[in-house]
Amino acid sequence: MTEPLLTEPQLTEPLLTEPLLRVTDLAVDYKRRRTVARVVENVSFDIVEGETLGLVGESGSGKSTIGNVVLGLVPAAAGAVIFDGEDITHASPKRRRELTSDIQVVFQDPYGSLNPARSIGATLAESLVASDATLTRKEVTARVHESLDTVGMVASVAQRFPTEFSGGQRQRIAIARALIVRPRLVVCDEAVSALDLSIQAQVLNLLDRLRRERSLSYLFISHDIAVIGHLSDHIAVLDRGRIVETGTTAEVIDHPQDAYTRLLLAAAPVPDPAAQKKRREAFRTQRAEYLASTGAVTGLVSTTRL
Amino acid sequence: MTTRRGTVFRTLITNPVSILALIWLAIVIIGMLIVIPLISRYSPTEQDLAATLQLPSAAHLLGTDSLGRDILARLAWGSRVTITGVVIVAVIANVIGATMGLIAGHFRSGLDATFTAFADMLQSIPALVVLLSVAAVTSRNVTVVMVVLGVLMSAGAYRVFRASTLNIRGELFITAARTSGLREGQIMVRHELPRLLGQLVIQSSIIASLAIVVQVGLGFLGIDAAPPNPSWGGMIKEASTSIYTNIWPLIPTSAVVVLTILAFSTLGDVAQRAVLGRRRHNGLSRAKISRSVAKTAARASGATVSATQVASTAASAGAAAGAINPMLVISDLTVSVPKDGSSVKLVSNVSLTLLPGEVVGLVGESGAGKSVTARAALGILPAGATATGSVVLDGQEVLGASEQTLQKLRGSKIAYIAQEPMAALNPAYRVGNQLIEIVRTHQKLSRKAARQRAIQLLETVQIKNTEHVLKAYPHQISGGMAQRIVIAIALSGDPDVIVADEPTTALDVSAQMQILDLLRTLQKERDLAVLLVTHDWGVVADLCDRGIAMYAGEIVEEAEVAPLFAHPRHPYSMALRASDPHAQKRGGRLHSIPGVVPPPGTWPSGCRFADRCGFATDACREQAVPLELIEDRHAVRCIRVDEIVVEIEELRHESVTGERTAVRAEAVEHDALERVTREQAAADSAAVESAAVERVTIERVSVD
Ligand SMILES: Nc1ncnc2c1ncn2[C@@H]1O[C@H](COP(=O)(O)OP(=O)(O)O)[C@@H](O)[C@H]1O
Ligand code: SF4
Ligand SMILES: [Mg+2]
Repeated sequence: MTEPLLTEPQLTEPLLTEPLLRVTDLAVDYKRRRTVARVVENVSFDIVEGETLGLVGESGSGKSTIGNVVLGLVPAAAGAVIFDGEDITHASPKRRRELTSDIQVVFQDPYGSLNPARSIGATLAESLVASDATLTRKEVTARVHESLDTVGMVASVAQRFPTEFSGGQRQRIAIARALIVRPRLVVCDEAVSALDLSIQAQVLNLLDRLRRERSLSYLFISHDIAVIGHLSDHIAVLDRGRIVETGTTAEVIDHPQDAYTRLLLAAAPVPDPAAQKKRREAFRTQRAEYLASTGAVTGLVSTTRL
Repeated sequence: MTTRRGTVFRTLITNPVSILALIWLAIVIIGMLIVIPLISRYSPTEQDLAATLQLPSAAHLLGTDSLGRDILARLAWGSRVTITGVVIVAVIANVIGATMGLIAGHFRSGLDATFTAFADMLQSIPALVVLLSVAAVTSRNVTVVMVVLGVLMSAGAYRVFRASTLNIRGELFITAARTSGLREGQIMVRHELPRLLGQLVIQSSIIASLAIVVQVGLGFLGIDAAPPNPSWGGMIKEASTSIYTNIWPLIPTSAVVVLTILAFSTLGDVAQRAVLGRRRHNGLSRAKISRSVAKTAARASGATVSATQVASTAASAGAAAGAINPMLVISDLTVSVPKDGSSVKLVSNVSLTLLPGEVVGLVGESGAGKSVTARAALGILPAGATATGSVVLDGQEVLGASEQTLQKLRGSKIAYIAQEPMAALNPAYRVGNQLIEIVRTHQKLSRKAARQRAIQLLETVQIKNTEHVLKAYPHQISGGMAQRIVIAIALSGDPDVIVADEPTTALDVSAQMQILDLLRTLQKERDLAVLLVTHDWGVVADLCDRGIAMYAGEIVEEAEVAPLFAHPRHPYSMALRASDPHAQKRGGRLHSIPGVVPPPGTWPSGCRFADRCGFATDACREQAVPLELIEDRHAVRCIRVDEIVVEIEELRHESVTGERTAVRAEAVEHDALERVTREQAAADSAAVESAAVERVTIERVSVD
């Protein structure tokens, strides 16, 4: 423990650029009956404080698995997850619980992620008290109201139950639950995918405002590259468990290098009959190209995936 | 939706059968166990040899037994032994069963295997032998015997609680609780245990009825209360010895025993059905259409084109001209459900027409009434709902039709594709077997021929390795593949009309693109009429000939796709399209429609969109707005439809000459847009602000 004296001067510089989250060479295995399948391989990325990384790929490509490793819900088979300089790849359950006040999550399904038998207030308070047991009741209530306010809901919502709210409203509540502990990183796993498009826009705006106000970082996971583009600073494209392209949002969306990225871009329908017709044709071309370049069999390309 | 626990308790106190059971148990517990011993003139052991084997009288309400003892008093005192025994068994079995089940189901791993092995062991023990030996060893100590019975019965309870916990454990809110930092113990107690309460009621009732059977059996064998103290089992035994002299004492005694057993098993049964039923129905079930509705429907079906038919502009124009016979005509459809004593409309006065080979998109936000409308086309209404108006499918009235008629229509004339493909497939059976079964309900075919047909169907939906797919279980296939199979099932009866309710919403964009492609191909090949429900204008643009926008239970705009996209005329259509993230530029805020669709029962009396409309004026809120034809084949429900065109023109001009509006809007946006969602209270003032915002939304769209 004499080292700090020596290293201190050197440390100040690199600290500035050290990312909030660094994932290196991550691999994840799932056991299936008797066999072991590697579903994520060689995945590395950084998220700098206050920035958003969009992780895009079709379903089954491993996006949620990566998010779950960051959250500690799924173990890593290889590689490391470094949060704020600390290796949390194999953190103890106790350390994991402490980390929940730094790393939070908003799930896709706004219907399943709230316990229908608990009031909104109880759900929010539970999350807060778990992170800090020293808070008084009054403080907890104040924080519950404050977090509802941040997502644009009135305090009386706390007494009501999840079934009374629409999908978009529930997703706001799920965001309030994530933010009440004042985390630094939020994993948004398909956080808007289950919502109507018009409501997606509302929630994306909300996430964007909160990020700016609190310099939050997001790991934003979605299958829809158009949605990802609205919120992300950087994008990583995931194909069958591997990252095939990374770059700034503008680079990836406006000048995609990889055939798979181009395929994803052509897949999202636009509300304009003429433009959509062109997209459809582009999709067919891209698909042929991708097939030729990789010979791969995925949901995007073949109808035979099981 | 209520919690399962709420459903179970509510069912128990509303179902007539279980009410009877509860009343009986109340009589036994309050009357026999507590009140009668306090007020009875007789002691249960008091003999009156002058009055043996009497029939009921004022002195002895249920008569007397062979020793002249009062039967009612003996039943009452005897209930003590029985009820105590039942409570001991139920408590022990449930406490052990639920605790172990919860732990095993929650943690799985090694504990699970150990506990399950323990339960196996308990269940393989010959219970009666054990009970009799225990009785012998403890010199007939009933309490100990009941404790042992409780332990033995905990194995069954354990299995049930373990299975329920496994189910609950997979729910997303449990994962959410974990990522909130809750300990496993807290998750079990706060989130999982409360969900087991319904199961607890069921198990307690089943265990109680079984416990009484065992108890009475033991009493019959003389293993319970020491004579002359009464017990139900003992009383039956005594009564049966004098059965040839006088049968009477056996009657009230066995009646009480049987009724009590029945009461418990009935409660268990009703509770069980409440839990299962909730899972099965899950919202929608077959319609119970009232007689009056059927009559209205019949009347309406007589007239092919009614006044309200103006809604269905494009097609009704064609139909009226006698050009083509429509495939599906919905006219003036109103669907209501009872709520808190009154009736609430889910959709009101919807009329639409679908021509052969035509693809019509029904578009709007969740809760607009799209699904209710689409399902009505198949004669499916929400549980308890009533409908007025008519739904005519290829000349045949659907509303009020018999289940038999509907069964024939569904599949052969009209088919349904739901949003969640996995939900349409039974996880327990291979895809092939399910497909073959369905093929055989449509056609009388041998299994082999049906299999051939199933393979054909899979090829129709462009599945290549059919053999492989037929052998797969639903969980082994992707969502896109599952939707193809559901489409194959829909096509199996060779229908003319397909109702597809958000067929691609649950899929990722790439699978969506392919399913849309498939639908387009099939539609062309088979000249299908398709009613496509979606919230995505992109899907409408991709596939449809005509679009119908719905809002708060009614149609607000209907037009052919080209004009609908080039010149949408209703503010809702414009705003809905403008808020699609796929169509918007990156950077800066996204356009969105503030607020939410008002739920049924809270619709404004004037224009239902007024609270969220950027063009609303006082006049809009005054009275209901009619749907009117503004051009050939283009209908709009907005009283300001012409003025709006001018206003948008002005706004566009303004923004071209200066950024004034845009700048003002940016400022308003930050505050207003998010906060408008703050419940209805804020809605009024916010509508004023959002008016400014939305104008710009529309203006930007027209500039883009
Ligand atoms: N079984 C039901 N009981 C009561 N209300 C229902 C039932 N089914 C649907 N609704 C309500 O009817 C309205 C319209 O629903 P729906 O047709 O599903 O809308 P959409 O398909 O446009 O999302 C919603 O507010 C919904 O909550
Ligand atoms: S302008 Fe008036 S009538 Fe037209 S949609 Fe808006 S509120 Fe309704
Ligand atoms: Mg719907």
